[in-house]
Amino acid sequence: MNTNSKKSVVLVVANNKGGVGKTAITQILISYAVCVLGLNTLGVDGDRQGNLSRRTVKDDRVEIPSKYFPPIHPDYDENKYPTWDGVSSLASIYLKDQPVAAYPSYQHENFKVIPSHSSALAKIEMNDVKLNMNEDELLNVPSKFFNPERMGKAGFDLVIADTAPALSPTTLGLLRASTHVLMPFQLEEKSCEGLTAMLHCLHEQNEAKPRSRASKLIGFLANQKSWNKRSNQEYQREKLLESSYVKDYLIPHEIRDASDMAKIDTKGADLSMPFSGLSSDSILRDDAGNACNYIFKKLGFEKLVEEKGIKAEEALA
Amino acid sequence: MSDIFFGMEEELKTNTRKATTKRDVVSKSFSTTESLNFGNISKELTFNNGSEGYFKVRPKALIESIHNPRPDWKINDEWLKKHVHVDFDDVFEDSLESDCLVRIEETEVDGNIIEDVFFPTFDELDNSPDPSSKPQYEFLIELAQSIRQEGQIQPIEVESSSDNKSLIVLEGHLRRLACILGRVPYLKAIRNEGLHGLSKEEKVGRQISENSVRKDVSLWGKYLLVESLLQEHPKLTIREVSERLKLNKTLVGYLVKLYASKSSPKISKALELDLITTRNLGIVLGYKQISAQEQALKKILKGQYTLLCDDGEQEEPKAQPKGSGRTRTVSSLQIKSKENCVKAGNRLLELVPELSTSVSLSEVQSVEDMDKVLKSFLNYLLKD
Repeated sequence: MNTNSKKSVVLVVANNKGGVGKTAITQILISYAVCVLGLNTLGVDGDRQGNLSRRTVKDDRVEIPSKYFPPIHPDYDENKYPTWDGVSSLASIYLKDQPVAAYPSYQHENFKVIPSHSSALAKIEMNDVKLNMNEDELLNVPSKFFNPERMGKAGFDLVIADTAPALSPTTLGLLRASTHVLMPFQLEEKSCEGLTAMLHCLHEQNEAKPRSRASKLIGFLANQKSWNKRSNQEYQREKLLESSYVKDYLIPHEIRDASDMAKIDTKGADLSMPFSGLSSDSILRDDAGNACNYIFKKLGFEKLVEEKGIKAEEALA
Repeated sequence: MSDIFFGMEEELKTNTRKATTKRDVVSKSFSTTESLNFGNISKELTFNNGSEGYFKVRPKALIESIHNPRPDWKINDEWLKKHVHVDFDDVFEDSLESDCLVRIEETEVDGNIIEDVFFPTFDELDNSPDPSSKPQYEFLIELAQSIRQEGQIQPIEVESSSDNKSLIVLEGHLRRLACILGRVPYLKAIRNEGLHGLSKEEKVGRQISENSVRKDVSLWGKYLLVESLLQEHPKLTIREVSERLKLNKTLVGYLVKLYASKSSPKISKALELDLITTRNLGIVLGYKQISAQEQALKKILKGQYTLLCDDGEQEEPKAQPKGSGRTRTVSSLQIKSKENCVKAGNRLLELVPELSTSVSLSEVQSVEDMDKVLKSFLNYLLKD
């Protein structure tokens, strides 16, 4: 789908707490964007672990390396690009001699991926590469690359970036580049403690750019809500509502812990799985549908959501 | 969709000039600051040990101290909400959209984004602010513009609230208000947790000492501080009030007198409108009668005296009957020539022969002799 919009939405999914489900949420969002709304979508894997890349980049290698790096790009022509080794990743946007190429995904023409590269990103983040940039210039590189007008002209309606559980230069740079940010979290004390720090972090990146380009926080999305920890989780929610800075951003939908998540979270799983591959009474389908309807309305796709969004149960009060 | 990135790498990799905004002037000043520490979130965000270094604090998230040494200031958070529509919920102050009357506009100049701030004039403010707050509003605009242009020179001082959830301004209230008005996202602050044991007066006195090198508290403000202190501690002496509030003793004497004695309400009004000096305050309070005080005020203020009168009130204070002013305690007599001194002195010696014995004089021949005779005569008159 081409919305004829000149500007793309750049959504970054971030939280420096590990294990809250950033990659899983990113997959669900990509699934909704591509398969439900039909948006031309670019996925970006900003996590050196490469989990999103492993699950979405079309990869015929027999064994995917544990320290992830992408395969040779399918359009690579050695004769045409003699100085290029054929591998491209998010790290390439920082490097002078590397072109940046989006990789095709498994089934969908309207979804491409800029994958991660574990060692290349590590070198960049640890300043092990002669980039001749100061810290601020390094953080500005993703903003230049993922400029919403550029992405829009390139035909993408939406860019969704997964990030590492760390406030690394890559993560901070992606936050700075974003037009919108979503922060998944768990209703557990340690996870909740970090939310205000993330809020601070986002706004610090906003201060490095003009107000007209300030990133908007979609909200905090509670993920992996367990049935057997209900009372403690409700208590955590109440505590969050006491913070005048956090409460306005609590998304009124939660993703409950569900066994169906394992079906989605598999290499090569059908991208449309969360919304068409699960049974109609699937908790995950309902929760993901409600959350995505809410999120994509906030991203500016209200009409599309009204038209094509998932008709699921009413949101949590 | 194209593989868009091929061929675009040169554009991306060249070191283009980074877009700068006027906010960079503000942010560059903070390049050495430690962390963000703002209001309600502060306790969850302290990255250092909290006892040293600068913090960046969000001005809207800070709480004004109840020990505000500027009780004469009309502009506070409520005033800004009511007349300028400052949104105190927008703590982070990083978006263009706002209902605030202070507008921010971005323009691109040579590839750089420049941020300009436009302050409404006093007349353009909503809900008819009190005209007497105009000088304060204009002062805050000046301060806001200075902070935006030059950066903040001196950090403000903050401490934790008793419930440990917020930060309270100890010193720097005006800079905080200026930053809120000027839509500056954060202030540089130092945390001083060592003052929790000080009394209210000690904290106020400390701030007054600081303020004396900046914008001093007005006479009216000082009166309000004295009034507040005496309401709480009515038996304090002038010296004690002076020591606690770090105010000049003579001034405190006048202010205590104004508080404690029945005086014309026009004196307080003159103070509030900043119409009289400390010296003139002393002159006016020297009169015991209210009417005499008002007479003195009129003489000092001349045409401005009308500002103290209520509508319909007689502008001219009533003329005073003679002798109804200050109570006299001294009676004196002058003899203005040596000849008269000698003549009067010898006459006295004739009339009161005892005087010759007491002063050991049979005849007055000089003014000095007359002085001796008169002193002796006074003792004679006052003898039981």
